[in-house]
Amino acid sequence: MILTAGPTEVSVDPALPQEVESVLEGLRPSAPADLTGARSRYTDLAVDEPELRDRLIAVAAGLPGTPDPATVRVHRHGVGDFTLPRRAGDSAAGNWTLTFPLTDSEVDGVTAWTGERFERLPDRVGAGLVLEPGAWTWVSPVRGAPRYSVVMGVR
Amino acid sequence: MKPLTVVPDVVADCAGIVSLARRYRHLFADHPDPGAPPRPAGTDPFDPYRDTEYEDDDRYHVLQSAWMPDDLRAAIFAAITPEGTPMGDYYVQVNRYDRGDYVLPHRDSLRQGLYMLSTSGSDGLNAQHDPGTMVFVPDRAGTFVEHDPQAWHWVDPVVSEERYTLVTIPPLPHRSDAPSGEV
Repeated sequence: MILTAGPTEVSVDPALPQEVESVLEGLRPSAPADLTGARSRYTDLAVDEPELRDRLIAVAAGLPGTPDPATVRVHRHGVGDFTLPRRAGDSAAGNWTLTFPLTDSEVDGVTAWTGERFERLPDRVGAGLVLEPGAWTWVSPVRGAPRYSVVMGVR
Repeated sequence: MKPLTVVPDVVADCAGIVSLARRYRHLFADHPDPGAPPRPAGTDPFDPYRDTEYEDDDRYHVLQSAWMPDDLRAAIFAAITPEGTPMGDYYVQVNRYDRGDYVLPHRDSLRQGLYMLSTSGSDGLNAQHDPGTMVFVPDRAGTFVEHDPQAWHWVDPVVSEERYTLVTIPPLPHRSDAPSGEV
């Protein structure tokens, strides 16, 4: 298992961030895998609304594989929120994960193992990250402004 | 868990310490050890529960206490401690990060003092304050940071060309005119 994450370009409709924010109702606390003595802090939304889900899935068009509609989620990190180190999901062999931000930031982003070293990938709309099963990532405490990102499993 | 403590302006002469550290750049040891055999392909690059003494998954440079020249050690104590503080009672280490360097998330086993020796608009320390709170402490030269040894902490890949910090075990006593208290 190689356990890497690779940057990729994705096309994000400029209207999507506002649209996602407008439907973020019924948010529930995250239940992520935690480290001993610490728990992540962010909000996790399963995207159940079909039209929005389809538009988010369309972002993966052109990339290898087919997104699994059941796995499309939006993460909201308020200022100070964070995701502790965790591995990309590997619930099904051969699956990988696509994540991409819906917000730009000079100071916030994702840290990930990219094959040779850990790198910090600043948030830029259009900059996606492909995670192989088991790849490590984390989001350090957000400093700039609330951060929105999409995470989806791809078969 | 002991709360995170952040006190600015504790170190009096960071520029002088960094200048000496640069002079002794050849004494810094590298992580990962460039002489170590290559790790087998597919090796997991990160184990959050690794032994605290194992640092070869990290990427930074260390001037350890045993290799520290007397003038650098004296400058550090003069900048932080009351006169007459016995230098031999403390382990002192200067860390240098080049652009892209990092320390992965981990916990320690001993009480330590961290002193920031350089200033940056982008870099700093991520440290746990309590079970549900992580805090980013931006690099400001002179700042003292102490966290619970069992607190998770890490340094993300550094954006600046150079970042310097000082680690002591245990934290040094501070001059009477140094700021105190938690921020």
